[in-house]
Amino acid sequence: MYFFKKYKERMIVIVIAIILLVVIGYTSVERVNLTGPERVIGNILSPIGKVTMSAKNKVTGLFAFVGDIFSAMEENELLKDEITRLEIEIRDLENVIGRSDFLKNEQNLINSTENNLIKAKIIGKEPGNWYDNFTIDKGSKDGISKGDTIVQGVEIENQVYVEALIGRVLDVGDNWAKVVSIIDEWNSVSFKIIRTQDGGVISGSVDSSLEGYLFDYSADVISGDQLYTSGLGGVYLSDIYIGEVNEVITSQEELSKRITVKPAINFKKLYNVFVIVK
Amino acid sequence: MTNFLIVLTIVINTIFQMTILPDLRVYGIVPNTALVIVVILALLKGRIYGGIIGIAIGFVQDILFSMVIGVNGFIYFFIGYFAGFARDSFARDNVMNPVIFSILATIFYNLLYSLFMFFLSVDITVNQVVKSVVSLELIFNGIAAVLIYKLLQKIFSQPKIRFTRNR
Repeated sequence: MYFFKKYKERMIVIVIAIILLVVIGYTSVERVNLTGPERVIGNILSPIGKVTMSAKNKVTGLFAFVGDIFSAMEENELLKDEITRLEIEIRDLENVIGRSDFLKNEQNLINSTENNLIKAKIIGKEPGNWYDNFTIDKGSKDGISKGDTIVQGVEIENQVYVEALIGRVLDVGDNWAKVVSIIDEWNSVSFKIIRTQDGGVISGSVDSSLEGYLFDYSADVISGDQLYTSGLGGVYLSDIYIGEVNEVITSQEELSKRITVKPAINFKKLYNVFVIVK
Repeated sequence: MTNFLIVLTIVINTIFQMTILPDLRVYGIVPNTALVIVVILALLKGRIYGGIIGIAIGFVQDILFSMVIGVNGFIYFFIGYFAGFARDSFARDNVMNPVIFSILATIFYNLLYSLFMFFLSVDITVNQVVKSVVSLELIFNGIAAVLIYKLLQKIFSQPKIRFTRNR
């Protein structure tokens, strides 16, 4: 017993470390449900976060208004530049529209599919510098279940609105849910290029950009091509807009075609999202 | 009373960190106030408090945001525990001490975090590890340490003369 007395504290520290490692190992695989303590802590903290977040948004709005008065002059100059830029952009877009009739058909199809959407508010973003996860204020009480797709509406062409992919629900509490975004390292999305129907996989990286590769080495892909989810694997619903191809990198050695993708969503400025309920 | 204040500190920090702090990004980097608070409370209250506070803050962060429960808990636990060893030997009036401890803890945190990510089969390169360690976060955490130390020292300072043995 002398041994136990002498090294009591060290043994406690080692036991705690082992318990924590077991927890890490246990939770690093995909889990079905939240455990009891997790549910309790989340249920207490998320309403408080909601109130603070909305108060902060109000204060930020006030400062922004005062700032607007002073910046009106500069804004005038900026807008003139903007008009020039937009005129160039319109020419480019007309070119794209004229080239692809089926693009329009596909979009009409998207408009006609009525997904069951639930509106949700973001109540907290992950504080660290490593990941881009966040929590929303709707949970299992509102009918959200694990694996649901998170989207936001964006306009991709004149008056054409589509759902753009943000991420998927990772865990659900009673009145909150943990969401992992597509720019996260852990998340891979199977996509297809709408123009040629070529498929591939993209995933986020630690520095918050989207990168991926195409299944077919000889696939015809140019920068500006639009990506949609293909629905392969059943993780995401099919035909949800992801973004545009930014750059195509062909490497002879690896016999693969890599692309970088510019997502349709600005992940730094997310406040409201929609959940597609199955 | 002290325990209640510690719980309150953890809750306020968590809310501050998840709502206001992400908007104050400079070059995409935010200070990790949770880490700084663990270090400073460990310096003020000792290794056992440090360890417990580390686990508490880490678990709250893990449960609310990350996929794997326990990584932050593990790292903060050891940071709190080891920083607590310095409680009786560091000069309380010199504000540089918590700053240096915070910067060392930040390096330790990022190295250990990359190690965990590596073993959890995340595709991470040496380049990204170096970038995460040698970043503006060191400076930000140092500045945050000054402010938080000034604040917490007032709340958690203990009388200098004591009539019982230190634990």
